[in-house]
Amino acid sequence: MLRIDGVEFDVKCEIKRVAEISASDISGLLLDKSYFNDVLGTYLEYEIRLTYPLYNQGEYASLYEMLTMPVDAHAFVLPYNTRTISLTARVETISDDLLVFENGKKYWRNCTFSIISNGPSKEQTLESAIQRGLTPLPDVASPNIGDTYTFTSNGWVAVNN
Amino acid sequence: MYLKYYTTRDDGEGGIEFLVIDYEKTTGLSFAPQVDLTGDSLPINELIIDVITTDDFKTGEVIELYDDMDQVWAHWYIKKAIHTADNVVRITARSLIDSLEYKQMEAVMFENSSAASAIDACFDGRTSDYQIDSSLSSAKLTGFAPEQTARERLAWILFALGAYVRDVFTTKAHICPVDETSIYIPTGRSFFRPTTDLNDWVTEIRITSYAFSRASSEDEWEDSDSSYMFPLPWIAEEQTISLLNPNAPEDATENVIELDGIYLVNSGNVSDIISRLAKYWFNRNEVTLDCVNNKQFSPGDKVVAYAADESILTGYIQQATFKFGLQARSTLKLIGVDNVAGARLTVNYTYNNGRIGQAEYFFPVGYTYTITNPYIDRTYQDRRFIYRPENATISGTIVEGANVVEQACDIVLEYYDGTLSVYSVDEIELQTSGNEYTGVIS
Repeated sequence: MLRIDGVEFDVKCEIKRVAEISASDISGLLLDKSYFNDVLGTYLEYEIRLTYPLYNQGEYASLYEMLTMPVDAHAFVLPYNTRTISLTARVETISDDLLVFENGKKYWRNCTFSIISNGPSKEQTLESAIQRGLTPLPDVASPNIGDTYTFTSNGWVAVNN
Repeated sequence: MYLKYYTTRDDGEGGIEFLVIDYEKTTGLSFAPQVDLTGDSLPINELIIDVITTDDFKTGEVIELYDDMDQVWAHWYIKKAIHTADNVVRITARSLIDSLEYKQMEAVMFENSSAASAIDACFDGRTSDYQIDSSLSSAKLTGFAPEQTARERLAWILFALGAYVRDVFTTKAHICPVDETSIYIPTGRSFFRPTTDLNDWVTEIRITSYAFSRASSEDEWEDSDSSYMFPLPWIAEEQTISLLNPNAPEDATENVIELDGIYLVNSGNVSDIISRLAKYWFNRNEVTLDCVNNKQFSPGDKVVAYAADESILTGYIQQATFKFGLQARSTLKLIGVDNVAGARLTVNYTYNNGRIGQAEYFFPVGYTYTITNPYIDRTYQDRRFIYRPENATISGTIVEGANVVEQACDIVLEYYDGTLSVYSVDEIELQTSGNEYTGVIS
């Protein structure tokens, strides 16, 4: 299932997801040999291959027309971990194959397109960038000695505290 | 970053209407503030930016540059706003000094007069736009200033006082003396790698000092050379003071800087002026370095930094050219550069007498350091430990030779097999927001 600009398409997809942690061009090598990375945010890229049955050329064509419209971006709802994510993303490339049978019948298939989110899905603030820190830990204002936490699909959860 | 544009229009609630322009709606920001610590000139700083907008901008109105933490970087005045396309306006904004260029000041004789009042006169007393550092509040001026623009007058006054105008990172231009306290730029903030340019040796500075007295009669005044230069009844006696550059080799080509005709130079301030100029001109190295600069380093600051060969140098920032991402990077041009002896400091972080971490620094000898001890994050096989140093900071003074400090740590957190265990809660706060944990609740 794929939702683009509010329209649902009942199609099987193969999806490849790439997250680009984008940094500005002021990044560079420092005198202490470490690298200063001025991270702006995390941008998601999806490469999606549609596997339509050959007989459904009508819906295939309408999806193709929608994706190739010369617009800045589309609104996508896409799988993201155990949930879905709404992304405003631009279509970067789109390609497909034409299959021609001996009887002259023609079928378009294997439509593959890649999209890149227009805005970052995760952003860093200037304040947090200045105070460079470690990787995320539980959000607990007042931990006690002996407390333990475990990471679940709902985030960090206290155990026996 | 963003811009804030103040109109002169009333917002209907007793305030001034303003417009906020996101950085995404701008291109081509040029922002390279500078100072002239020698007092040879009084630079007008300029900000040029293209704004994608259909709004109009009026000359003379204030535009401010802010960072994402709502801290002001520049509070300047629109000089030009030109539509370069239907929806693009190129704004040129200039610092307060530009407004002094168009004001003419009458000639005046200062007789141990208040420098603050003379500065106020240049700015027409618009104290909402500038402030005079408290250290200059009792400073005096002696000597003559001819008819000149307010910018020239202020330059003369600052030259006599050894002061400059700091007009970045503030909403008010700050008139202050050079602070000789060095700000340290660590190697972890300075980009690879600084460059050094060698200027020709300045072999000597010659400066003319003036002593004014009243002529006993109009005839005496008319007969003197002073009648061409100074109003009745003032007569000036000149004295040239010279200082040779002790650093210049004997075979250096003679290169004398001569300063005369600045009539606010007198016997009371000439030695300060000449030694100040010597600091900038007798050290012929000019260093250019890039650093992460989120407002920490400003033109006019004295800094201690590292050269390309990682030797330590000190110098004064003449210009900072900024480039922005989320944070800011600036190219600093340093003048009056001198070398500083350095020594190594090694901090060993230990737990149960075993070393779990080490930090090495190379600081100037005599430098008083204060280092915030970091939490140490270590993974051993599949266990992750976070250690907290027993002391939040260490401090001391660097001596010649080796400087070694031991700092003990405790385990604060252990992460193993999906479970995080808390061993100590002193000075620790756990949080997920902003991808960090910052320490410190108790």
